[in-house]
Amino acid sequence: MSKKNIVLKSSNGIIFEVEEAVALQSETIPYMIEDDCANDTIPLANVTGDILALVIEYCKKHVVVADGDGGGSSSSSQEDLKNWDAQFMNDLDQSKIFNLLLAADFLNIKTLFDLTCQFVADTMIKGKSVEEVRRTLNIEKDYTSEEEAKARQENEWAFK
Amino acid sequence: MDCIARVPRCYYPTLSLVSKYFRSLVASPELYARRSLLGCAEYCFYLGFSDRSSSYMSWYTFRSTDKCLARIQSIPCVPIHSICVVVGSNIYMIGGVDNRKATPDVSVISCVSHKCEILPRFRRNVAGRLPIGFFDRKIYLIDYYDDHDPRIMVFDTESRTWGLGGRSKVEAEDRVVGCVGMSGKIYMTTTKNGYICHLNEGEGGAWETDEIMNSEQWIDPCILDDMLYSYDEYKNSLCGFDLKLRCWKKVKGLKGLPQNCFCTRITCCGSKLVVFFQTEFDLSSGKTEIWCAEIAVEKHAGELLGNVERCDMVLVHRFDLIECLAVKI
Repeated sequence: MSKKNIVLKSSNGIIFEVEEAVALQSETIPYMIEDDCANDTIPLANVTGDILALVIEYCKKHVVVADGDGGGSSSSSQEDLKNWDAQFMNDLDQSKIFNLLLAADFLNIKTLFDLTCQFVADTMIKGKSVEEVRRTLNIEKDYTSEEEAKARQENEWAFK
Repeated sequence: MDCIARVPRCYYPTLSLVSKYFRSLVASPELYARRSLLGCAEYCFYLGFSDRSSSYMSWYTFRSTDKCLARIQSIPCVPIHSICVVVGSNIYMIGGVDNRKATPDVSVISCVSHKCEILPRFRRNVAGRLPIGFFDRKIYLIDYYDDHDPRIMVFDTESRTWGLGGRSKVEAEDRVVGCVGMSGKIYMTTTKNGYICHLNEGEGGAWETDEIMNSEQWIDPCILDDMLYSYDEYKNSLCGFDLKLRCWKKVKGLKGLPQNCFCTRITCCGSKLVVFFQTEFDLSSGKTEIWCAEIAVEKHAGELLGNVERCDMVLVHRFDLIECLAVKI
């Protein structure tokens, strides 16, 4: 039986042809297929080609292959997938991580969204100083010196 | 918000300094709802300390990762010996001793925003040890010590009103020595008997007596996995009462716990018991040590085996540890 393919087009015009099972890990794409049935290509205006390539790489790894009995079985063991996910995220620079998070949100791929959020939480926020968080997340300080001093006082750890 | 919700709460004080948006985010109910949905809610300890020279108590949060205590500056000092109960992410405080006199004042602390709100007063001045429990949006306080009308008083946490419940089986001539509320039940030990009040069974609750539960002395226990645990600081021993089999057992195998303590507070977080110890005062400095131990208890061949997974000194100061609550947020 031939497998159905879906064609995705990134915001900068790059075309990706993927198996339906890979694309349908996104909960957004089925709606786009319905809305745009006249056209075979699904345009993804919010996702650039390099990020879409990463999304597809992730979805290919996580695709659940239907077996002959009609049940489902994972293409990789849970432990292997966990290790693969860790390596996948570690290989990305910060800008790609943020864009991947936004793409996972837009495409509604829950597991990828969870993975990227957890990675940001663990590596860029948890245990970092105020200045490090501001720098990493590109946040400008909007406290005046007095306000910051007051906020610091309120959050002062009393005993160390 | 989805990233912040996944960060342990102990980092939130630092995050609140990043920007005004972060500050409002870490105090927003939406963030805590998301943490709960994601399964990221964690137990946070709220400790009430009193300076020996005053009759007020201050609330602190305890960060177990690096054993830091932080005074919650936004919550004013509260009367000592209030009757406290945790409901969701809130701590309700009823009565207490204000300026050496018992008070009917009631207030609630939001552990999300760390703000305190005044609620309608209790029917009389009250302080100390009154059995309290929570079931189906209502707080039940067994006001047995009122000579004329020993009753269960009911506070509806939604309408924020007090109402009269059924009559208390425990009466004023009896004296409640220890009590704990859990899962719609209130367990009490008194000078006469042990009682369990099932709050879910009608206006006055269904009462049962349990002499065996009353055969050991327990004051401020906690309940974990159908066991009622109590730490006896005089004997330096942890005991558990099996609520199903109705028997007491000593927890064996505990090593490395502080000795010479005159006050302990026990609570549980997840599957572990957490015991705070206060050692005797050092006569020259007037200071005391507060220790915190995490204990895992396993049932094995009819015995309770305890393992002290960690035990650290938290603080050396002139404070008394009054209250210890674990809040899951």
